[in-house]
Amino acid sequence: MNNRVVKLALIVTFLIVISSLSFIFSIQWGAVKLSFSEILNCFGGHCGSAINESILWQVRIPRALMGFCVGAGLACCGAVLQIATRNPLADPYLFGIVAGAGLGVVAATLFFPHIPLQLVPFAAFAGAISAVLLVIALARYFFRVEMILLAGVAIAFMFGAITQLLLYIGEPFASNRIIFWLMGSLSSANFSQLAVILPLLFSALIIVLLSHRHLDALMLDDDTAQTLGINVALFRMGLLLGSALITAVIVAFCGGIGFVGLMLPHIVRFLIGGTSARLLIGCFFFGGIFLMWVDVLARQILPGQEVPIGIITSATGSVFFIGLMLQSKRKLG
Amino acid sequence: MKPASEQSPSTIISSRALFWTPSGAPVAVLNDINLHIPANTVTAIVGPNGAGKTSLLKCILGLQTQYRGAIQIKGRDLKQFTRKALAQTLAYVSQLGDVMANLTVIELVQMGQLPHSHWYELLHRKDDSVEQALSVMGITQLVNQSISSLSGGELQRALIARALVQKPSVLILDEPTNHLDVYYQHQILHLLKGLGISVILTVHDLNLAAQYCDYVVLMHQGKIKQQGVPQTVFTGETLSEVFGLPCTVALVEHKQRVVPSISFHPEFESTSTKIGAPPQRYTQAVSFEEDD
Repeated sequence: MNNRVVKLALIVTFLIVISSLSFIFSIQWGAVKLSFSEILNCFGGHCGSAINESILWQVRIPRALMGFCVGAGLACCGAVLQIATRNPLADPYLFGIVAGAGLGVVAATLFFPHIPLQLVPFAAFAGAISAVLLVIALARYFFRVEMILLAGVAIAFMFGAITQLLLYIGEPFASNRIIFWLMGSLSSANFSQLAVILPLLFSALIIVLLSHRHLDALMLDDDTAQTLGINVALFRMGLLLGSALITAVIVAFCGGIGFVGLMLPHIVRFLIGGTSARLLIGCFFFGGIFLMWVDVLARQILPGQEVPIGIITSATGSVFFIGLMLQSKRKLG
Repeated sequence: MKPASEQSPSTIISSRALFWTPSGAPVAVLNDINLHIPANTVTAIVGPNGAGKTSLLKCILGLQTQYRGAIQIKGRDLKQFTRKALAQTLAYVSQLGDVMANLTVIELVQMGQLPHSHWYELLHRKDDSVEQALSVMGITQLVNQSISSLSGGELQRALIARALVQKPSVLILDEPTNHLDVYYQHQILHLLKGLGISVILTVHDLNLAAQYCDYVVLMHQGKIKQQGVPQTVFTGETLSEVFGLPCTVALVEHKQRVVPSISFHPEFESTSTKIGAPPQRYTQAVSFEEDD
């Protein structure tokens, strides 16, 4: 047992080091390039210029931390949902969360044209949660795992249709806002958002890691998990609701960043194996590191402007997804 | 319906007037089941498709709780067990299907420790139960292999080892020989017989049941047709009635035991002179089945 603890501790230390290096690297890049020594000076309280100081503390650092949290959160939610539904295609948006949040934003912008920008996330959150509740209510009614996936698809289409109708009859200004928002961005990250997401993410991670053996049992089949002493219906509902809550908060702050929740768990499973503890720890760090780097790309790829981060994750994600399909086809023969 | 032909010294699982009708179904899937399964035996539940075998297992396992009547496990009512206590008493191996999880054999087998662990025990205990289960099932050399690389027989043994780590009084298996070739079918049943705990399984191959099981429960249309030792339950008359096929049973000696050897003589194309049951009975039985 000691051996395994040491090994786990080494791996986690290694991942923390890589995450810290990625963090320091990512806050150097942007419209203004900061050197490593400037950053060190700033951390020491002797910033060269007031502009650099505010760039660093008000833009870059919250943004990099937010990138880590969003990547880690989406990847972990994806991993949990793939286990809970025993479906390798499950991802955090399976409850129609993005569509629900989109509807929330559009409705708020249309019905309250002078809504302050800080209140938009609340509208998005309300929309996302109402989608989740509808999906859960439908799935509970049918009481089958597969029904959750189908209900999610149906609700996503329904909310999407209402959003499009509102945009069609509404003012053109709203559609700009919603399109930018749907593509996802970390550009509005700030410390007050981090104060919401950090405690939520860490407490959820601790709870899920504490029940990692129950999660493992869920990988077999429901009857086996039940005969191992697990209240499967209750446990699964908790996992679904927890993931939905975290995803709704992320989507409310950063919009729809696609594919991270779907692709990262598969990469981690391939790299470090399939028990849920390893999967979750791996997803937490790999997801976080991945999104910090994608955000660096988003800031650098077009000179002078920012590419919405969702475009990059979805582009890389779709290529990965096709590869996954080809591989599983080869496996099936 | 005849009760158990002999009164066994101790009964591990029994049921009294057990009825279960799925919501919306017109007929009862389990209809007045009075079960007496003797302790420390290998018991087979046999019968045609739709006879209620799996439903009966699910009621015993506490997976299906909407039944009427009573089930007793080790003399205690099933509904008095907590989830954890039940998981320490009964272990279940479901039908062999696709296991999607990317786990190693040892990770799979260690799952069986769950009913004996506290929630704060984050890591698997290092105790003998896992190694013992692996060696009983003869898969010690496979511990670090991924379960997706195992053959059907190896995977089934790993799944049974997982159940054994639960240290159950009763091991319950739903068609453990499904999808396995003849060699592995005999191997699995031989291993189960050597465990020395109460084993209950459903199986389609009556000859396997006759050869390895001490006690059989023959089910037909939601009822127990007969239960007892294989020689008394497996008669040509009973089996041809239940399965709707002409059937003969010969008693053969196998390892100093008299074992019924069952052969069916279906009449789908050509007629045989050795048929025990008249053709009318066969047609009747089949149409009876279709009503089910």
